[in-house]
Amino acid sequence: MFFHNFKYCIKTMINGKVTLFWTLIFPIALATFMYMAMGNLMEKDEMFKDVKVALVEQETDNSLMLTTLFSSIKGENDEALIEPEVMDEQEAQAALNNDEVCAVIYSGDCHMDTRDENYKTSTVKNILDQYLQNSYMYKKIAEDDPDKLSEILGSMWGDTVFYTEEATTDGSQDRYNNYFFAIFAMSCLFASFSSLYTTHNIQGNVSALGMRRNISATGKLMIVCAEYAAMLMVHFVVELITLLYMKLLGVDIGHKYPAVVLTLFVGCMIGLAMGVIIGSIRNIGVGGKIGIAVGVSMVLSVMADLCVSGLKNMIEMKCPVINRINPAALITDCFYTLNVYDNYNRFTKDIVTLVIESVLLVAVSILIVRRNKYASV
Amino acid sequence: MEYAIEVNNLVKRYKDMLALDHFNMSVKEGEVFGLLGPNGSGKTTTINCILSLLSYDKGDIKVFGKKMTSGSYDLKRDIGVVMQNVAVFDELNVYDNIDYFCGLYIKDKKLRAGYVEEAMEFVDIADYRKFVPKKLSGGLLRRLNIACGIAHKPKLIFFDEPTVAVDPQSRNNILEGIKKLNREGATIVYTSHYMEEVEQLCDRILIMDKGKSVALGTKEELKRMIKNTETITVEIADVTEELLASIKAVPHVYDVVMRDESVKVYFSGGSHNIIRLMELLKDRNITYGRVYTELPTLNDVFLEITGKELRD
Repeated sequence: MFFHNFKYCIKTMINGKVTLFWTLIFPIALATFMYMAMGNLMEKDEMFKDVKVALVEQETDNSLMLTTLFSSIKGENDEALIEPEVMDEQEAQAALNNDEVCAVIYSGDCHMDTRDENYKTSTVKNILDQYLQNSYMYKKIAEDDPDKLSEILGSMWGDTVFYTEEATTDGSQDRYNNYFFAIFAMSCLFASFSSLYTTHNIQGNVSALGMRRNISATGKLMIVCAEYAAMLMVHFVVELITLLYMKLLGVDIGHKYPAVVLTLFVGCMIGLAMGVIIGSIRNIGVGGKIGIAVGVSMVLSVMADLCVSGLKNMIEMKCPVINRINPAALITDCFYTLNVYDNYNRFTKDIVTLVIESVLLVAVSILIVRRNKYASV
Repeated sequence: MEYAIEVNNLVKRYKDMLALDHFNMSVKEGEVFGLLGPNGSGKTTTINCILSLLSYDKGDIKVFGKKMTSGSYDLKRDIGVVMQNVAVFDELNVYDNIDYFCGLYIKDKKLRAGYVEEAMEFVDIADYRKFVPKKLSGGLLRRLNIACGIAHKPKLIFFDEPTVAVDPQSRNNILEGIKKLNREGATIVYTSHYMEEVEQLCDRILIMDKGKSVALGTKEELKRMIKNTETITVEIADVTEELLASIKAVPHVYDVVMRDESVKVYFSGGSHNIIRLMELLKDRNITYGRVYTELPTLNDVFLEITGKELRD
C-alpha cells in the first residue's frame, strides 16, 4: 500500500504541470534573469581595478609625476589598477559626465573633480592627498635643509609597511550570491504547493477525494506518509536540477557539496511541512490556501534578501529572532556559512532549527487532520 | 436471515438541526435496498454515518454483523461507495484512477490488474483508458466514478445519487450495471430522489423525511399503504357540477378533481374502473378527448404520508 500511494503521488505530481512550473521552471527563469542583470556586478562595482581617471595638463612636471604615480599602482598580478589618460579640460569633463572616468585631476594644483562619492574616488583622492603632502614635505626639506633629504628619503622606505591580505576562506565573498541563495530558499518553500493539495485531498470533510480515501481499506497515516515521502523525493530532485543549473550559470556556491545537498533536502522538508499546515487550515478553499502559500513563501523569501538586498541585515539588527525562525533566512544562511566559514557550527544550528520546525509543523497538522470521523462533511 | 447493515436508533445533529431522528434501517444481504426521500431528508447523512465518515450522537451501526468503526479495515475491504460527487484525480487517466482506488483495497498487483480491466469493461469505458477526466463527458465521468468505487469487487456497495446530471443513455447503462452487480452477489444500497429509478431497481424501499423513516416495504407493499389504487384522467371540455357528482358516485371513486380541462378520478380498490367510467360518460353523451390511467407511484405514497411531493 505504501509503494502504491508513493507511485501514484509521483505520477500526479509529474502530470500536474502547474506544480512543476512553480517549483522548477520559475526559479530557474528567475535565476537566469538575475544572472543576466547582475552576473558580473561584483566585478564591476566592488573590485578596485580598471579605475579610469582623466588628467588635465596644466603644468608639465606635475602631470608627468602624476602619470608615473598612478601607473605604478599595481595589483597582485601586476595589473595596473588606475588608468590615467591625458585630456584637455573639455574632453575630461565630458568623459566625467558620461561616466567614462570616475575623476578629473588637474595637474596644476592637483585638485580633483568627481561626480559621485564612492570608494574608488575616495581611494584616488587619498592617493592624491598623500602625493601632495609628501611632495610638499620633500620640497620644503630640500629648500631648508638639503643635507637631511637623503636621511628622510631613507626613513620613508623604512616606515613603509608591506602587508598582504590572507583570506581565511576560499569561498566567494560576492554578496550578489545572496540573491541566488534566496532563490534556492524560495524554490524550497514552493514545495508547499504540492503538500497543500495532498493535505486538502486527504480530508474527508473538504474534498470528495478525501471522502473516498477516508472510507477505503488503507489507513490515512499510511497514505500521508507515502505521499510525503514521494513529494520529498520529487522536490529534492527538482532542487538538484536547480543546483546544477546554477552551477552552469556560474553561481559560486562553494565546494562543500554534501552540505549543500543536505541544505536542499532539509529545505524541501520545511517547504512541504509548510504546505501541510496550510492545507490543514479549515474553512478555506484550495484557492485560498494556494494564495496563502504563495504569500507566505514570497514574504519569507523577500525577508531573506530575494529581491531587496540588505533587508535580512536590517531584520538582524532590529529583530534578529525573525531570522532565527524564518525558514528562507535559515536556508540562505546555510549557503552563506558554507561559503564563508571553515567550521560547521552555525550551519549545524541552522539545519537543526529547520528540522525541528518541519517536525513541529507536521505534528501540528497531524493533530488537526487525524480525525477519522467528522462532525459534518 | 443475515443482515448486511443494521442501523438502530441513529441520532445525528448538526448544531441545532436534527438530521437523523432515531433512525432505523436494516438491509438484507443480497438485496437492492432503496433509500428514497427529498433533498435534505438525511439519505447521505445516513450513508456517511454507516461508513464511519460522520460522527453521530446516538445509536448503533453494524455491518455484516460487526460494529462499524473508522478502524474496521476488514469491513471496509468489502465495502464500495459510488459518491454523489465525482471523486477522481484530474492528473491521472482512466486506467490509473481505477487502479489507484482499487489498490487501496487490493495489494496483489496481478489480481488488481484483472479487476481494473473488468471494472472498465463493466462500465464500458475501456476505450477511454488513456483519457484524463477533463476529456470525458459527464456521463463517462460518472461511469469512471462508478468503476473507481466497485473495482475491488465489494460485497456491499453504496450508490449515492449516482445518476445526477447524467444523460438518459448513461443513466440506463448505470442502472443495468447495478442490476448486474446485484446478480453477481453484491448487496446494494441505492439512494436517490428519482423514484422511477428506485422503483425500477430496488427490492425494498425505505422512504425517509426529516431524518425519520416514514415507510418501508417493497414497492407493491408501499403502494398498498395508501388509499389510491388507480387514477384515471379524462380530457373533458365542459364539466358541470352535476357531472362531477355523478362521477363521484361511481363505485370505488373517493375523489374527483378538475384540473386544466381534465378531470382526475381517484379510485380506491376495484377493477375495470375505466370501463365503468367510460360507460357513465357515454350514457351522459359527454364528449371527451384523451383518457389515460395511472397506477400510484412512490411519489403518491410520499405525498399521502407526508403531504408533500418527493421532488422539490
